[in-house]
Amino acid sequence: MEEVLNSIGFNVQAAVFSTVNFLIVLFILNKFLLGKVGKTMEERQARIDKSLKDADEIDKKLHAIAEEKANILKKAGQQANDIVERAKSDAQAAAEDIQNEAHAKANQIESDSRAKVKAERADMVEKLKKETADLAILATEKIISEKIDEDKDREIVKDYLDKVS
Amino acid sequence: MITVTGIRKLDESEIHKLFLKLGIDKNSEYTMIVDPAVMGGVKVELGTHLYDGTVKAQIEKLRRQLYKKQY
Repeated sequence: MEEVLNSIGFNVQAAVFSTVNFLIVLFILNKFLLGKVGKTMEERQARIDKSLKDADEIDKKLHAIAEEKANILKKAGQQANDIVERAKSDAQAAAEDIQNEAHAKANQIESDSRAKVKAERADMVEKLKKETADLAILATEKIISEKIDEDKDREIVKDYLDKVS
Repeated sequence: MITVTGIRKLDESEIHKLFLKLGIDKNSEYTMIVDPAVMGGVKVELGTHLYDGTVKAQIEKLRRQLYKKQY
């Protein structure tokens, strides 16, 4: 075996020596260097993990903020619509009130005018009747005064005396 | 105070009949007023009492009735 290995140029002693050296170097590295590197790596990994976790949380917070913003905008939009609708409704109600008031005033004016015309007409008719009656009385007085002489007056006085009890 | 009003001066017999009907002493003093405005008949004023049998009074009554009927 050794001969075979020697025939291909493999020195067993050198290989053992090299292996021992390698193990010693490996031990030293592991003891003094790789341990620190590993620790540093772990710390870095931890920081990276933390950063990633923080980034996730920030993403979540941003997402939540975006949702909240959307909700606020949606709510604001609804409130704006409500305000506009309420303003429209109020304006319509005010317009209807004004229209109703105008109708009522117009009706009142028409009613007052009719009543006034009716009263004026009745007053005119009454005045006309009164004037007619006055004229009739005047004519009667004139006719009677022309027809009553002394004899007629005696008859009138006699009639009155007969009536008086 | 008695006041008698007519369109002419009433004679004594008319005055006596008038006073008799109205319950006035026939010898009472009175004042006779001739007023064409009464248009006929006779009116006697005795204190606050008035007995009006003139044509004017009847026409005024008719006027009041006409007004009352109208209004």
